[in-house]
Amino acid sequence: MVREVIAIRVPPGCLRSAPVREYELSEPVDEALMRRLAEGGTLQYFPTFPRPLFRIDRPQELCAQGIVGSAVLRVTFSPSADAGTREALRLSLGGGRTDGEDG
Amino acid sequence: MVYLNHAATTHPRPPEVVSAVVAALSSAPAHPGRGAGGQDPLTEARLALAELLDVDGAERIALLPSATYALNLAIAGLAPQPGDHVVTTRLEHNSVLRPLAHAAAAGRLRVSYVSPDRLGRVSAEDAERAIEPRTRLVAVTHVSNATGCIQPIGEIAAVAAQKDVALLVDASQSAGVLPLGHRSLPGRVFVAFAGHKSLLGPPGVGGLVLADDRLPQGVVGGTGIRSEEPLHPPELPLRHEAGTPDVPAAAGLAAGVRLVLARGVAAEGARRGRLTTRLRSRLAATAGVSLSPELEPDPRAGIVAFRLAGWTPGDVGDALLRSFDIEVRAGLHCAPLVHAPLGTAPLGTVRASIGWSTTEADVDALADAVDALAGGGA
Repeated sequence: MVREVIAIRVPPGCLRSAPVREYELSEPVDEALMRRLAEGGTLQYFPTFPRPLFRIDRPQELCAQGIVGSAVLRVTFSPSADAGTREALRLSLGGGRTDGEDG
Repeated sequence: MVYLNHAATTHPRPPEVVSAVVAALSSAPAHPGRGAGGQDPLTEARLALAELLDVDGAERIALLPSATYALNLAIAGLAPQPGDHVVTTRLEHNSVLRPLAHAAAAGRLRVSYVSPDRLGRVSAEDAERAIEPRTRLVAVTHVSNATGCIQPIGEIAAVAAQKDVALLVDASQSAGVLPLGHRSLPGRVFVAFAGHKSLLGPPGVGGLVLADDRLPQGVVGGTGIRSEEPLHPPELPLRHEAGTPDVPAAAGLAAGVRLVLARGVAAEGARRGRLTTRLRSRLAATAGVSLSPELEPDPRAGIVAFRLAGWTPGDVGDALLRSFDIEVRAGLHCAPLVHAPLGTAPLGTVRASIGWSTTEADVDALADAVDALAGGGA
C-alpha cells in the first residue's frame, strides 16, 4: 500500500487559525520517512523513549514531530511558511488529502 | 497513564464517588418537593459543602451546573446597572473574563484589571486603588489555574468590605485543597466552586456560596413546590435553582466532599505542596526549563507551569502524551491575560497539576520525561 495523507486535522484545543495541524497517514511513519523529511533540516531522534519520538526542524518552514510506528504527525508551520510549504510537505508524505478537504 | 491534569478535571474519580452516582441513577427519584422524603443527595451535598467551606447555613449554597454558570449568575446580578464598574485581575479564567467582556462590550459596565507581581500574586493595595465610586464588584480567583499562585483573599475581602463592595471569589482551583472560611471573610462575599476538580465530584455540578438572599435571580422556572405561584420562590437556595436538578451529580459531589473532609483539607494541601516542591525542584535542575513564576509560591495548590527552551508548550504536551503516556495541559489554560505579565505570552506554558491520586512516582515520571526531552535526542 502506498503511504498518503488521509486526514489533516486541527489538534484538539487549537483554533483553526493556529499554525498547527495533525497529519494522519495511511501508513505509520518509519525511519526512512523520518530521515527523508529531515533533509535540509535538523533531526532530533529519541529512539530509546517508551515510544520513539522524533522532531524535525526546518527553519522558515515547519517543525514536525511524531512517533516512529505512529501514523500521526504533528506539524507547526513557521510564520513565513506559505501554501507552497504545505504542498511540498503533503507531497513528501505521499500526496493525498489537502488541508482544505479536512478540518 | 500518568495523569497530571487535575486542574482541568480530576481523574480517576474515587470509587466512592462513582458508586454514589450509580446508586443515585439506580434509585427511585427523590429530591426536595418532588419525591419521597429523607435526606436527598442535594441536601447531603449542601451540608458537606457548608462544613468544608465554613458557610453559615447550607441553604446559602446554590447547586448549579458549573462554576462558570455560578460566576455568570453572580457577575450579572452584582453589577447590573449601566455605568457600574468591576475590579478584577489578569489572573482570571475566561469564565470571569468573558462575562465581564460581554457586559463591557454591550456598554453595561466598565472593568479594571489588576496585574500580578513576579510571584504571580495580586495585592489588596492594588485592588483598593482600582476601586472607584461606581465599583460594585471585585472579582478575583483564589488560586490561578495557570500558575497555582494563591491570592490574598482575606486581605482583598477586607478592602472590599471597607469600601462596601461585593466580592466574588472563584474557588474553582482551591475548593478542597485550601481552607476557605467563608464565615470569617468580612463583607458581602460570594464564592463560586467547581464540583469536578478537587471536590472529586462528577462534571455537571458546581455552585455558588451566597452572601445573602439579595442576588437577583437568573434562570427561573420549575421548582417542584408552590406551583400555583406565578413567580419563582425567592428563598434560598431554590431562589437560584430552577429545573430538574442533576441528582446523580449532586450525589457524587456529596460523596467527593465527604472524602475531602475525611482526608483533611490541611493534610491534602500539605501533601500536594510536597509533591509540587519535589516537581519544581526537579524541573528547575533541568537545562532549558523555565518555571512560571520563577520563584516558588505557596505550593499547596499543586500546579506547576513551565516552558522548555526550543519547544512550544504544545509540542512538549504532545511529546509527553504520545511518547510517555503522561497527560498535562499546554497553552494559555483559558487564562489569556496572565501570560503577558509573567512573560509566557503568546504560547503559554506546559501545566502539570497534582490531584488526590498523584504520587511521587507520577511527578518523578514527568520530571524524568522532561529531562529526556531536554537532552536533545540522537
